[in-house]
Amino acid sequence: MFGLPHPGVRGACLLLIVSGLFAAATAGPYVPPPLHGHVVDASGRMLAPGDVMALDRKLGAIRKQTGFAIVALVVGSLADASIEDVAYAAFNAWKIGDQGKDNGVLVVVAPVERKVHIETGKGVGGALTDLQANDIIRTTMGPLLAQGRIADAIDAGTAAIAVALMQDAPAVKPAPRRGMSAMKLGFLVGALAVGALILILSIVSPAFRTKVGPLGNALGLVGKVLVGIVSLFGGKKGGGGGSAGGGGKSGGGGSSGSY
Amino acid sequence: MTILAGRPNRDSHRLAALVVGLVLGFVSGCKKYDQLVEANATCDEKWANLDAQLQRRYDLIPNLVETVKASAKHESETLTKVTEARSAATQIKLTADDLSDPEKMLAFQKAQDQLKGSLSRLMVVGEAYPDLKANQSFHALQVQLEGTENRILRAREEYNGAVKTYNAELGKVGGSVVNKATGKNFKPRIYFSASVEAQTAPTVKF
Repeated sequence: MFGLPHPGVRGACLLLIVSGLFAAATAGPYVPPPLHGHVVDASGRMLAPGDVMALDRKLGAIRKQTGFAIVALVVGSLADASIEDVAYAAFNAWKIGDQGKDNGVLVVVAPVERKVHIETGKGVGGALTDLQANDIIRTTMGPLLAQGRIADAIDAGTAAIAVALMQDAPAVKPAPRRGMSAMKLGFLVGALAVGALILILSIVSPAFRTKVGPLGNALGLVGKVLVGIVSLFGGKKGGGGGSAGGGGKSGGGGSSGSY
Repeated sequence: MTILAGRPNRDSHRLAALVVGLVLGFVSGCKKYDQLVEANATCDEKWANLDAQLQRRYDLIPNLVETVKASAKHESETLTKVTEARSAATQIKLTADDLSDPEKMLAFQKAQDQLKGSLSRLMVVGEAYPDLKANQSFHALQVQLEGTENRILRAREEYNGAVKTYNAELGKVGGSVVNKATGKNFKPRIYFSASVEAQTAPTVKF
């Protein structure tokens, strides 16, 4: 029975060996899976789908209210990398937070190695210090993680992070503006004014009509297209705010812990 | 008339081609020069960031030494080494030119490696004292030092990345021609790489 394994078993063994070789060959910087929402379970089995959805909803709401982007990642295994390296690589691959503001925070849990890390964006420095991050790991997340309650630990940990971020920044940035910015409005008014002028001229002056009739038509068309584009952008801005990645960078801030 | 007009016409074509060639060369040279300036500025920015993180480490040390001294009186040798390494490192002041000087960079790196090594030993020693481990301010300093070390690591990676881009730009044919034509303003920079010992220094578990 052991001498002649089933062809399927042999195939599986071969596949294992080959994939092992492949993994060894590609042992470079950690490459995170694509970011969908605010919670990524790279292990695929540590979080229940319902928990992922609930946490994502909560973190999406925090993003909308405060502007801070908080993302949680549960890795299957660190595979000899340090949790700091994994967190740094994932943070910058996902570009958590807004460009220029760098207002993102990434929580990484490695259940196999029993390690946890909070990585802060460059712009978070004062709002969530390394010390505060360490306190959250030790007092809030650690005890829950030790019981194997990963989803609860992420829930409580991200809540504590949000509280710390908002305490430091009481003048919280208002929710994403709805409608159009002043510049876009000015552009729209300008386009409308030019369009109206051409329309009036072509109605009032027959000379204008004969001279620049085709050009006027073309201008009118361009104006219409411009107006369409502007209103498209205005509409998009109003409904935005659901994504965690937006160009944020991390400079290695944050803290790690074991549980 | 036609015979007379033929020559100047061909000459003017040649002249036009020469002018176009010169203008194109000048424009691409300017572009190359701008690229070098930009890559150099990026290096400066990354270096400033790295320098700020190294400064943060210097700033943490006096408090750390005082805290350890209060609980671990028998560790005066370790403490002295840290203090000495700190003052040795702070005494090296690098100017912009020194970033292209292999000897000065090596001396600076050595001083930083020594500081890191002595700090690691201090933290390992600190672990052996129960009342130090229970000390809130020691814990706070530990966490801050750990965060600072990680930031230094990232800042160093980013600086080296910027240097790689800049040096490559400078080493390319276009870059070196432009550099020579403009009076060799640009010099290749030296990487800020930690020694192997510093990277495998006693790890501190927090």
